[in-house]
Amino acid sequence: MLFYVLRRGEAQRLSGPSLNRRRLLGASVFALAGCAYSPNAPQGVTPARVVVLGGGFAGATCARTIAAIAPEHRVSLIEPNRTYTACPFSNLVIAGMRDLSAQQFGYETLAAAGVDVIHARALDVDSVRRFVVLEDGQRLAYDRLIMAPGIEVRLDALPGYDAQAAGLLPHAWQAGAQTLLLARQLSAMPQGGVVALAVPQAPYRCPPGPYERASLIAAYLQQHNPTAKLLILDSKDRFSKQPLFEQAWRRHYGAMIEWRGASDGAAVVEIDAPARRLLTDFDDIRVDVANVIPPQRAGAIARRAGVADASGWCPIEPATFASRLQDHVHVIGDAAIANAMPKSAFAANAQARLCALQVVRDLSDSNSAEQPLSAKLLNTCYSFVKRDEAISVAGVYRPTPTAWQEIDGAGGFSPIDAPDAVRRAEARYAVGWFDHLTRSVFG
Amino acid sequence: MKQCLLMMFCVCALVEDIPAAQEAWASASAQACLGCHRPDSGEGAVIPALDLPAELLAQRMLAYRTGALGGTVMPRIARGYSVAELRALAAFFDRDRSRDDHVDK
Repeated sequence: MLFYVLRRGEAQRLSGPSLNRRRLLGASVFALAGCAYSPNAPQGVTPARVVVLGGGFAGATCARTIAAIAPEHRVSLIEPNRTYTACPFSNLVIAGMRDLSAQQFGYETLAAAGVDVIHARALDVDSVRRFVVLEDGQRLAYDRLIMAPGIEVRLDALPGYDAQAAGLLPHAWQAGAQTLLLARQLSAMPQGGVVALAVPQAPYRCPPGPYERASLIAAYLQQHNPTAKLLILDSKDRFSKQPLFEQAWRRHYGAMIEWRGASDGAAVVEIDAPARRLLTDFDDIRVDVANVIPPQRAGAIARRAGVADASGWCPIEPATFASRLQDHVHVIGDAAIANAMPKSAFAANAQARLCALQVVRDLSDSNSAEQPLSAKLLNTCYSFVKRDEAISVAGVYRPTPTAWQEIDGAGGFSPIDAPDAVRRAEARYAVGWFDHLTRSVFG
Repeated sequence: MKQCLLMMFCVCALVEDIPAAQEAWASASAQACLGCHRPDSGEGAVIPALDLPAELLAQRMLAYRTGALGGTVMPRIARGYSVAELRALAAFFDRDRSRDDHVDK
């Protein structure tokens, strides 16, 4: 280890003494993480208390990365659930193509990798005195707080859609019981029934998610309920990967899927859950199964901590993910306003890794805030259009002083004219991505 | 100690053409690559690992960038980086340096 620190005289001044390459690489190697590194603190670095709130892809990645690259610091991860249920691939569960258990991961490996995992709910954050209050009243002091609260599915935004309504008309936008409820309702639906899928305005978690879900529900219906219909009631006029989805729907599902946009008056403005009625400005639509995806905002603790703005999401300094509203707090993942970067698991993981580097560097170098590490990030999102075919969108992003900006000429969608073999290859890569991601974070 | 110094010299010689600022940039930017790719070789992974010599890795990414090498997402991603950036990323993932690193465990 000393060898490395010596060798990197120059890079050290730029990236901080503990950011050596081997640790950075090792942080991503599941087989090695947590066991191959010396716990000795680099000289001159004062051990700090880092608290990470939220154990999803963003929070778990960030906690694990910091523990791997800077084991001299104490990293606590606060997450109420003992099992994490991942959202990516959960549309396959809804369509009966995957077990929910394949979506579920524990925190044991993070604990073994040196993360102090605390299974408790955080009730409050005192960002002046710098501590987090847990549900049992315990106060957890921090030098840096990393907030990864994910989304809150709003149960106060769409008239008639409250917690009780969500138990009747599932949103399934947080994976777990809601996912299984929607799957059960689909399988119990009478032959020839109508499924509605209500989609909110942006921003929301996983922009192409509703359309992947529509594709996979149609695949399920085609097999089990071929005379059924799927009606998408969208609050937008355009959607992610639209030409690719529409092509796949025509090819694979014929007239089964009907999409209506905001200009068609399709935005759902009110719900009558017991009667399974969806009201738009013009229509009163009674359906057999309704999947209502309501508007969202950053997880509730973001508001308690004072890191969310009037939009409900959390403004950040792009390069470092430092909160614009509170000192010594960073926000990553779906809760953060990352501009051109979508709210995806891939983006959350990439942001978390970069944020971990910035925080470790910040803790070892008081000048780092003026000169943060510069970096590009990227995103790749796969969507299944049927069980073994997928499409993708990719983007490369750079931080300007005001925003994460997409780099022109890069990124974009799968080709519209690609042969089936390409769609099947992308489905295999999607599986490869999910397996790699979940193993590197939780495995 | 002698051996350690010798190795230090060798590794320095390998990476001397990557300026420190670029190396710091690469170490941070490489984090996004690790969302899909293992840096070391892994059995049965669908997505290729990045444990290649820097020159081969750079050649491959530059070929994605120009379109000479086809692929699903990699050509779209490689176009987001300059030639110098792709070289710096390749140097970060360089297999030969990784092997040297592990000598000093």
